[in-house]
Amino acid sequence: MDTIARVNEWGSGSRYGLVDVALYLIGIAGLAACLTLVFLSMRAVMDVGGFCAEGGPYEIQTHCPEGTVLLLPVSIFGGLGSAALAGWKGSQIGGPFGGLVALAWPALFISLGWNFLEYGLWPPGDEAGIVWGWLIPGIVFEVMGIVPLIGLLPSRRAFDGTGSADAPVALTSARKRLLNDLVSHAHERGWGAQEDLVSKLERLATLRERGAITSDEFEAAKSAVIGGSRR
Amino acid sequence: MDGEGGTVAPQILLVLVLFAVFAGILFAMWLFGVMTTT
Repeated sequence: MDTIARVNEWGSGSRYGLVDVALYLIGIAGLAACLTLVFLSMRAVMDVGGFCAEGGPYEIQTHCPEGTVLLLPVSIFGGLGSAALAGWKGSQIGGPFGGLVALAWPALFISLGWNFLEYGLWPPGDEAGIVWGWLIPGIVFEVMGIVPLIGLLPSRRAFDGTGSADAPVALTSARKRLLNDLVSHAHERGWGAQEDLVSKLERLATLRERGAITSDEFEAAKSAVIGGSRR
Repeated sequence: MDGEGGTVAPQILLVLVLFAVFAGILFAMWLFGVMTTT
């Protein structure tokens, strides 16, 4: 019985509805929006020198660019929430869509690293030459973004299969193991024999409906079939 | 199994994902413009 329950569970695990797809797309769009906001807010703060402050009983040397005080924290936490939503729904959809959210890491570090590199090599305003304080974090950010991206790229093979989210290439090793497990369980418990029994009974019922056999003959045949399958 | 993943084919979903990314970026650029110029 638990084999059948597991088959049903496994089948329903790979299924998803329109609501799941909609939530997944909202997560992806929210993640893209938050990454863009972090990128733009960072540039705005770097334009005023890289440091700023707001609020509190202090004499503030450099005020933050308008809007960034609200946008930066909102986009950081919004981005984390969106990534969680996209990862959760993406794993329900299966195939390559669950892992797509991992691209947010390289997207974040490569784009923010670009800001550091650009401002380090071509500083705004009257500064001339290379600003090492921005160039070094830029290089570190690019390495942190590009190295995992190279590791992520081979997963694109998942798209080369039949195109289905359940294509064999998209099956994880865990799913493969579960499938092997189910097949061996089904053999052990004579699951195929039960299928055979059901089809025999169905054929008998059809014969009775057609009038080829009487109800008494049907009952006798039925008990013979069931008795025969009990061994 | 029956090989049907769900209600949206993966190819269509991939296009929708790309559209969502562009929509998110455009929305963020608009929001940033609104928040920083007022």
